[in-house]
Amino acid sequence: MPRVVLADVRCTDAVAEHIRDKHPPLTARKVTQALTYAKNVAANWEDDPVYGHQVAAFATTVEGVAFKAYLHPVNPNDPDEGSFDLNTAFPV
Amino acid sequence: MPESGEGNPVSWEDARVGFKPAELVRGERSLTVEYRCQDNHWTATSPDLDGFEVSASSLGQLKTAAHAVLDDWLDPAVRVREELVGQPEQPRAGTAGRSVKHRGYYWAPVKAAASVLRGKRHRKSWRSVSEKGLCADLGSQGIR
Repeated sequence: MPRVVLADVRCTDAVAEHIRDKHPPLTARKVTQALTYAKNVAANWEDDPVYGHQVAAFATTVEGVAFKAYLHPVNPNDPDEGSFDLNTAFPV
Repeated sequence: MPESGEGNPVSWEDARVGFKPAELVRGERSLTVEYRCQDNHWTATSPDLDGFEVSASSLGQLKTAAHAVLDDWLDPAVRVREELVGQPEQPRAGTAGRSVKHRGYYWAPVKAAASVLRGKRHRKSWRSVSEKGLCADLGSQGIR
């Protein structure tokens, strides 16, 4: 069974701004916190023809907003290192 | 900025069609929950969780409500630290209606006066000052 090691999620200001402006009530912090602390987080690797090897994750914020997020590994050659850049997230 | 996977809104079920989750490994995590009382109104928040806010009229009810929210949402592997932020004002014996802060304010001069009356050093200082004052008064009147 494949596994996703999720140790740290980083986010650029541009991504945070994008999520806040385009996908309210989500914010990058709420997404990151949900991925870190929530139960029932579902994640798996996928290969996107455009964006490459990435993790798709489903979770719910503490306020009850379900979302899908895409994360890119900081170290693609060492995916088990667990550091990711949040690429985007949107409510589902 | 990439917009991977963003399209028209879909339902939770549609979004997860065909999605097979992998084993998710997350390390040790801890989360702080802060309980505070203001104007007899209790509120729980967390510096680690934006949007988490629970209110109640007593600390007991607040903890029950906060635990219910977290039990429903929080990964059981996360260690929760609970902190009481800002003690509520509680009347103490003989100081009804005074807060702890006020009690210290009112009692400090009394304690100081008691120590002056009790303490040898303070008594001497008090006498010295008084004697100096007396001598000064007498001197100004031409009496030595």
